[in-house]
Amino acid sequence: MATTLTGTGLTYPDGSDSTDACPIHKYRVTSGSSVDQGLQTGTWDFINGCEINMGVPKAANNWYRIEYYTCTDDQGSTNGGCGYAVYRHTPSSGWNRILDQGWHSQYENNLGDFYTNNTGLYYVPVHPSYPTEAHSFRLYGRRHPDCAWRVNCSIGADNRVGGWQNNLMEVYEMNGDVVDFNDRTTY
Amino acid sequence: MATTLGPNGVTYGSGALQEHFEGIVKVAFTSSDSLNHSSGSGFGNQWQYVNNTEINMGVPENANNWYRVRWQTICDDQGSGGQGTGAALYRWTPSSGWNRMADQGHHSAMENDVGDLYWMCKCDYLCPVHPSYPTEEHRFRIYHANWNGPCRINCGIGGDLRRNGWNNNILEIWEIATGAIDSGLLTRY
Repeated sequence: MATTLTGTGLTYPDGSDSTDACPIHKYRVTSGSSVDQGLQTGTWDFINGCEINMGVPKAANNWYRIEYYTCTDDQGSTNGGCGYAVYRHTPSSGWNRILDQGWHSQYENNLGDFYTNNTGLYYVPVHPSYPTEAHSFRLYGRRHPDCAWRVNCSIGADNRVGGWQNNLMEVYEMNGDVVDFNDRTTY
Repeated sequence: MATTLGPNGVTYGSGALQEHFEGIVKVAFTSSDSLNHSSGSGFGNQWQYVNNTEINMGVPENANNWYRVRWQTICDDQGSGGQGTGAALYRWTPSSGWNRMADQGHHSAMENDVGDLYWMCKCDYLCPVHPSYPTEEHRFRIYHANWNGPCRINCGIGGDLRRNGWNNNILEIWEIATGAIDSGLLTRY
């Protein structure tokens, strides 16, 4: 069976039909490079290596789907936690914090040694003022209160390999024409 | 090089060959507007609708398609005693009404009176098109149940930056074409 244009789209040789544009324009992935990176108190720390350049968006109404997870560990004998923020950059805007879970979106109350997985999933719009500029994204972490906290942990029996350091950051550019963002406004 | 339709698929100007539909039919996302939402109190099966998590995915393109559902929120115990919560997926069509589909259970994350504790609740579900009503509109919601609460979800946290309708939670749904997915041991319901 040949590939054919139909009245509603495209039919492939295997019979599958495509009736709209693909929702995903671009996919980029990386992993924070600093094993056992400590977070500071009172400031947001760049998770080293967690920067992805998505280039110029294909359309001003597109959105970026950003996901991150890491393995974390308290260190020491106090209560504490951490959380993650997304930063966006264009040449004209510079780096701006745009979404933030808060600095103890994961938190334990002096439980002794404590390991867990931290995650974040965000949808972020193309910058409404600079849609024709290259967009880059970063992950930042912040701890609370004055506790020792490490991310991207090395763990007994782990197998960190090929640049993957027990954490992953992904960014998808999503086609705003075919994604239903339920009237979310841009910023 | 022009884009051409050939015997094996579509060959793009770059030379890349697309042999079949990539599989993602539709994507939608939203965020609940209910900040510090209570997931209920007491013990057991008190499912609470997480306000404004409803997504209308329209009529599925194929009766054998699947919905990949992803939910994430920030949770907090409140007060003393062991507490937990979990998320359930509800599906609706005009003929079926709202029905509870996949459910983690009411203490899929739980702490045993350890003092103040915050955690990140995440779940992934693969939900089929309703086998009896595949030509009807499909909607989805997230409900949370509670164990010895009240746990709160969609938490406001010091230093956070909630904005433009994002309240420390997100629900996203992808309709996936049946030809592009191997659902393993999962059956339809």
